[in-house]
Amino acid sequence: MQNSANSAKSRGIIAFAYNTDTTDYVSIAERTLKLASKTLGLPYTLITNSAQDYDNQRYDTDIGKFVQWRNAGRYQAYELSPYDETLVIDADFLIFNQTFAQVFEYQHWDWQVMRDATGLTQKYPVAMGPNSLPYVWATAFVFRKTPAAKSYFDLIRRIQENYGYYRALYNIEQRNFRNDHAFAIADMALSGYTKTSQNSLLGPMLHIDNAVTSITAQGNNFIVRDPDRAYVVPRTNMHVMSKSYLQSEQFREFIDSESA
Amino acid sequence: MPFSIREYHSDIPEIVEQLKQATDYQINRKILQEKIQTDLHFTHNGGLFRATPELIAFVHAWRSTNEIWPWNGGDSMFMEDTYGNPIRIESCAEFYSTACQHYQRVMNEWHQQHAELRKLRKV
Repeated sequence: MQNSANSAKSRGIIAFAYNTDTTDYVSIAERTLKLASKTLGLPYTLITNSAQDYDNQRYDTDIGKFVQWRNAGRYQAYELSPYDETLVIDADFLIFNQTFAQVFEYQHWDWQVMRDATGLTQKYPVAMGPNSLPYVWATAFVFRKTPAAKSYFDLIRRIQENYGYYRALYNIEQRNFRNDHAFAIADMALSGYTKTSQNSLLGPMLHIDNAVTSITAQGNNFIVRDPDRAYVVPRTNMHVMSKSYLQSEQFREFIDSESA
Repeated sequence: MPFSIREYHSDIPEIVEQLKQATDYQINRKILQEKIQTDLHFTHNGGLFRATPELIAFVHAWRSTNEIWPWNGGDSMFMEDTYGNPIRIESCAEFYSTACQHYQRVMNEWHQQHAELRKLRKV
């Protein structure tokens, strides 16, 4: 008799993308998902909509001012993912490293979220405000469809809907809603209010936080150029902030060559 | 020959161009090191381990001890993984072999990429 508990679980990658006045997130996500799928050998699903009511703002590194941003609804990943085990990535997260494929082989988690980040040109805060929670990055996270994971996403939804209250409660410095904050609060609450949660995704994550003009491959490295200088980074996962570059023809060609 | 102001100014665009091409070896080296530390992880029997010299040395010592005092538990053992979970290792020999191979592969990769980085001070 076959044991259904041992049957193969479906695995895949999803990304959320909602276009704004300034950024075509859908086309960016299509490219990054194609790359992630090639690197990890997993199928992918893009979740989008013609419009989203929730409007937020983010700082644009290319033009140096705040622009429209539609980042709400990440908690819907649990309901909308067609997979039993899902890796969720931001539309601007490039996966070049197969490390995430190993995560699925590790059994002792219901969800895992990225905890450490390294900036290419700047240091990132380790806490979300003075005397606040340690930072987590909802840029990349994994979850399994389990009751515990469902509780996690239900709590994230509640935090988003009552963000003013939770922001005050956890002394969060930034005023606008960020998934990072909601994920951190929910993770801590469901980990017994300890700061030493075991739900850490293998990292750290590299933030390409400058206004990128080009990324080119050279051997085992990438050369990232901005208007002022060049950086050499290994073939690792990168969170590219420069939306101007991500919408450029150079980026399309770069992804096409890397995912060929 | 006296220094000419005009000549001095004519060098500036070239210097700026050279600066744009220069790359910070220390930043590049740190990012590579972080990637390698992540790559050292491997999974075994549902647990996640990092192939460190300490882990390899411990498993090697355990195997050696086991040959002298076989009542230790045969070839199986329990190891604490990266997230603090006790993981059953059915075959110590197999685990040791996996850890050594993974360590060797990643360290080779690190050495190769580090050598490439040292050459790429200018791009």
